[in-house]
Amino acid sequence: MMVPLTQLEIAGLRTRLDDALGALQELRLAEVVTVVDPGETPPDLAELIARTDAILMLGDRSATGTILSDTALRTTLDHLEPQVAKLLAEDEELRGEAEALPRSIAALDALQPLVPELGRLNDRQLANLGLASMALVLDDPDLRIVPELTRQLAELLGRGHLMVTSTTAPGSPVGCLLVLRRRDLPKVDALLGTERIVEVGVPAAYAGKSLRATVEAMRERLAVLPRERNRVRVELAATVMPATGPLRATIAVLRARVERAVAAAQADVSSRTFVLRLWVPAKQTARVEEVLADRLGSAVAVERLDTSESVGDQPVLLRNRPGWEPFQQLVGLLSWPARGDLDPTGLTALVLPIFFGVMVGDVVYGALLLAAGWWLRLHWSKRTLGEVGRVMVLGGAWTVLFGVLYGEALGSLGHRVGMPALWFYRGGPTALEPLLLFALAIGLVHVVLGLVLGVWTAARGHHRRPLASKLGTLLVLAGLFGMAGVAAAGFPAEVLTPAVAALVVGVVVACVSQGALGLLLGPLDLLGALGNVLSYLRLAAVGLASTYLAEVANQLGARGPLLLGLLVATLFHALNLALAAFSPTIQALRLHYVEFFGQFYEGGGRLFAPLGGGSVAEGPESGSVPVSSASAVNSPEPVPAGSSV
Amino acid sequence: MELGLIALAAGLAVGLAALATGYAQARIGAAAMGAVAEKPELTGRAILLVAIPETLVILGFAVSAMIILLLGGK
Repeated sequence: MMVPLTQLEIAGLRTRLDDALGALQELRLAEVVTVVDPGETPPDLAELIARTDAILMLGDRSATGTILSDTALRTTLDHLEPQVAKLLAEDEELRGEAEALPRSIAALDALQPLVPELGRLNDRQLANLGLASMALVLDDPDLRIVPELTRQLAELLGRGHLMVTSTTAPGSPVGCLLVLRRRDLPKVDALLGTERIVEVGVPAAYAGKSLRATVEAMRERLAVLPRERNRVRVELAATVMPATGPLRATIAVLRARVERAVAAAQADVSSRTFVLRLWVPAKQTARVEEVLADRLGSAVAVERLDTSESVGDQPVLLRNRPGWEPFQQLVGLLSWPARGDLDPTGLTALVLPIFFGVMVGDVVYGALLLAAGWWLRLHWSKRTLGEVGRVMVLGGAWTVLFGVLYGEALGSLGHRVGMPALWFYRGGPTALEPLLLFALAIGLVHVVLGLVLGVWTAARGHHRRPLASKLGTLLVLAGLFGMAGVAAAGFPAEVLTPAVAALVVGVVVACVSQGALGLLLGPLDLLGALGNVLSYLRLAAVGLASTYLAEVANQLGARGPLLLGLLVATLFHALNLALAAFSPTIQALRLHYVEFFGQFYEGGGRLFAPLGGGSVAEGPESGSVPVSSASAVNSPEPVPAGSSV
Repeated sequence: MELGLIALAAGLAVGLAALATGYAQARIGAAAMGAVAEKPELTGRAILLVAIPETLVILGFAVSAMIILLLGGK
C-alpha cells in the first residue's frame, strides 16, 4: 500500500541550514522537494570520493578509526596511490606473463623433437656458424599461411634456410623454427611484417639461450609465477589494509556532505535565511517537527503545507508486508506506481504464485522448488537470492497443491503408481477441455478484477472517459459470459436477454467513451480485452508442455537398462524442473504486467528517497518501511502498463 | 487418414504460430537486450515487449486445441 506523504516548509537562519540537513539525515524521514536541478556533485568532493572508492575496492574492511579531514585524506591518498598503482601494474604484468608463457612453451616445445640438434645450440653458437634462428607462432586456421610462407622464403633465400613447423591440433597456432644465414635476418623480418604472422615474444631473460634451455627456463618461470603474484597481492593488502577502516569511515561522511550540499542547493536562500520544502510521511510530521525543534530551537520554524491538491513530482512511499518485498521489486521492474495509482504489490504477491502453481502443478517438482527456495532463504536471507527463495517457496507450495489436484508427481509417475487426482489428471485424454476452461476462467476473473480496480481508480481520479471505457468493457465481458453460459454451460434461457442487453450497452458505452474515433477505437479496445482473457490460455499451454515433457522423461526412463533409464529420466526431469522454474515465472509476470496491470495501472512514479538514504526509521506509528534510495534514484522510466494484444 | 490430417492441422496451427512468434521475438529481443545493456532500468519494459508476441502462439494453441476438441473427438 502507499503511505500518504505531506509537505513541510522549514524556514530558518542560513547559518543553521547545514545543521538542519544533518538532523534530517539522521532522521531519514524527509526528502527535499526538488525545485531546481541540483546540478553536479561539488567537484572537489566528487574527486575525493572517486579516489577513495578506488582504494576501497581493494580492501573490504569495515569502517573503523578516525574520520580524516579533507587535507589528511588527500595526503593519505597521495601517499597510497603511487604504491598501489605500482603494485597493480606489477600484478597485471605477472598476469599477462602467466597467460602468455603456456602458449609460448607449447609452440616451442612442439619443435624440439623435430630438430633436437639445433634445439641445443644457443644464439652465440649459432652466430659462430654465421646462422640465426627465429621462433614463430603462426595463426593459420585455413592452412594457407604456412605454404605461402614456405614459398616466399624459398623465393627470398633459395636453399639457404631451414624451416620446421609443428602444431598440436588442426586449426591451433603453428609453431615454426626458422634457421637462416645471419645476413638474411633483415629480409626475413621485412617479409614477416604480414599482420597474421606473429613472432613468439621471447623475453630478454631468455635471450641467447638454446631452444631447449629457453623452454626449460620458461617452465621454471611459469612455476614461480603464482608465488610472485601472491607476494604482490600480500604486499598490496599490507599497503591498503591499514588505511581501509578510516577511509571507509571518511567516505561515508563525504557522501553525507555531498547529499547535504545537493539538498542545500534546493533551498531558497537569502543573505540571512533559508527556506526548504520537504516530503515527509504524513504520520511522521510531528516527529520531524519535534526533532528539528529539539536540535535547532528557535533557529528554524516548521510549517505544514496543504497538499490536498495534486502536486507535481510527488514521490511514492510503499509499505508492504516484509514477505512481499520481492513482489514489490517485481512491480518496480515494470514501473513504480504514481500518485493516484493503486499499489498492486499485494495482489501480485497473492496471485503470481498461484499462476506458477497452476502451470507447474506437480507434487515432486513443487517440493523440490519449495526446498530449494527455503534453502536460498536460509543462506541468503538479506540478498537478492534470498528474495528469489521467498518467491520459490510460495510458488513451490502452490505447485504441490495443484500437483495434488492434478494427481501429478514427476509427471505421469504419480498417476501410474495410483496417486489419485483430486480434480483431473492433465495427461488424460479428456483433460484438455477442463484445463482450457479453467485457464479461461482464471483469465476472466483476473481481467475483471483488473477492470474493477480500473473503474475504482478512474472514479477516484474523476477521469470520466476511462471510467466509461472500463464500465463498457465490463458490461461486454458480462454479456459474453452470459451468452456463452446459455450456449454451453446450461444457464437458464432467461439469462440470454440481459446478457445481450449488457453486450449491446457495453459496446455503445465503450465506443462513446473513445470520443470522435469511438467507432474505430471502441471495438479495438473490446477486442483487446477479449484477447487479454484468451491470453490466460498460456496457463494451460505451459502446464501441458511441462506435463508432456515429464511424460517423455518417464517413457525414456522405462526403456533400456535400469541404470541408464534412471539416468536419462533424471536428466529430463532436471531439464523440466529448470524450465519449470523459469518459464512459468516469466509467463505469470507477463500476465500481470500486460493483462492485469493494463486495466488499472499507470505507473511512472518514483520512490521516496529520504535524506540519509537507507530505510525509513521505525516510528511510533509506522513499521519499518523499506526504501532503497539507490533504487529510487534509478527507478524505471515511466511506462504505461501494457495494452492488450 | 482423417485423424492424421486433423493432427497435422493442429500441429501446423501451433507450429506456424510459434515460428511467427519466434521471428518477432528474435527481432524484439535483440533490440531489447541492446536497450537493457545501455539502460538496465528498462528490464521490465524489455520483458514486456519480448513477451507480447507470445500471444500469437497462445492463439495458435487455442486454434489447435479447438481443432482437436471439435474435430478429433468425432
